[in-house]
Amino acid sequence: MLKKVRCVIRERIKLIIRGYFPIIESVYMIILGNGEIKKIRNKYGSDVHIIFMFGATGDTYIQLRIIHNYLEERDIKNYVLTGNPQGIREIIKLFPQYKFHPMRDYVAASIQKLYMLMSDDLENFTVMFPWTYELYANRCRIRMTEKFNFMDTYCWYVLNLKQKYTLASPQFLKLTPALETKYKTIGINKGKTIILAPEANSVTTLDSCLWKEIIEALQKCGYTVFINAREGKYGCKNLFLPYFEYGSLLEYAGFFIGVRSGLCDIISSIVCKKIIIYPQKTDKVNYNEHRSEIDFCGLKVMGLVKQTDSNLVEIDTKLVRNITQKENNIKDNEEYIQECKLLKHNILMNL
Amino acid sequence: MNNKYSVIRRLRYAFRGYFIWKKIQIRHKEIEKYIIFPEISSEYNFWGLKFLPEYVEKKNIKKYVVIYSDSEMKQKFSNTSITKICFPENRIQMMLCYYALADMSSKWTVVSVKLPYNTKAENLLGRNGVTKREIVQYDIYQIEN
Repeated sequence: MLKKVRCVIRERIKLIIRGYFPIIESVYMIILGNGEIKKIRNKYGSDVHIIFMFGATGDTYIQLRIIHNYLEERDIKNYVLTGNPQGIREIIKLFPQYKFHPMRDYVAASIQKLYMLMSDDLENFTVMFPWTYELYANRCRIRMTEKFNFMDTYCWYVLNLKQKYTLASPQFLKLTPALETKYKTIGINKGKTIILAPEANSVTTLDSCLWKEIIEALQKCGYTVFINAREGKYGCKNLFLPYFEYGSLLEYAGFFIGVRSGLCDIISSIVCKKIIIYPQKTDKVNYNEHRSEIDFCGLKVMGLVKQTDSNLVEIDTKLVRNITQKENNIKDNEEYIQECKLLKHNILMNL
Repeated sequence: MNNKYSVIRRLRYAFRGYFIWKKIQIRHKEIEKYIIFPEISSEYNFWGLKFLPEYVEKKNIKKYVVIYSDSEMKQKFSNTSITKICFPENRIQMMLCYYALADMSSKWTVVSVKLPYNTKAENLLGRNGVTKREIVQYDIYQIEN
């Protein structure tokens, strides 16, 4: 009880300081961040190179696939990965070769603040997400112009790689008889099940009614459908598994359908049939925020899937928008119905 | 070097930067935007000045002040009616240390991608033909369209 009261009081004080005296909080964060850096150096050696990650899971996944190129190019032997736990904790299991130093979100934000004050004077330190909103000064927009795709953001903009890069393979759990039995028990039909991921952080989703229609049509075709979603509003079972189990799961299930999200990056290397839904490119591209169109964020364009891979089908539709795009692409009801029909048709035809 | 003393020194700079900023604010009331050129003999200064009229027009900025320390810029400003403040380099550094602590981006435009911290935009220089001119247009002034 006393602990709870203390916690509430601490949070209140934090809120008051944040609201009225933000500078005081910044100073506190810098001291905290500096202390944490010191702790890391004491633990892993004074020359340890800190790879600092503070981003979403999909981004972290891609960075972990290419970071070895950076370490090799710069001949960095002693290094440690660290950052916000939400982004890394699950993903790092796919790359057991890397050392990971866990920390609280607030401490990670504090290190980011320290970077803002110290910048390149922070020796042996690489910030992997220089485009986050917290780094507010002149956020890089040029990386999102038509000259580049999203992979260039990682390879060129963040890591400044000079040579051609290679992708490290994620270590997904292999399909074993025990896992097969587990999936069978859950109700997954081998080679006839679709894992549907209808939600994403960077793009809007389809109307739940449309998803329901699509799910019904898929079920009529003989597929079992599982949803990877927070709520069960789509009329079929939910299935949440840790990322490292997706390899065996999709290999067993056979199909994945989803709107473009970080999960699409994570499952890109898994052998199964994939249909990814992207927002259609608009006339006026907004470089301020993230772009998720095929020509920027497509798995083939990014090189995460081979151009010749017929298992991947990428569809763009007006029904999905970049999350930052306020205005609707669809003019009237007629167009909406047509787009719904077209998308449904495209999904069913490509399975 | 990341040692306690350099962190403390920068924090001290930040506080001095805050007072410098307050002084400027008192002297130049009703200013919408403070455009800061922290670099010396830099190509960013050239493009920053070149696109300045377009920037203030597109962003509909009526009253603005240019803060700089580059002597080359002083000559360029001599025949213009732009309100300007010439500061020693370290004073601008102090202001930018303050910028690292407090988000002033609604009031300040800093014509640099290295200060107050490295935004890494320069890693794209030369890649697919990216130039400093484009960095000023896209990242600093955001006036590409």
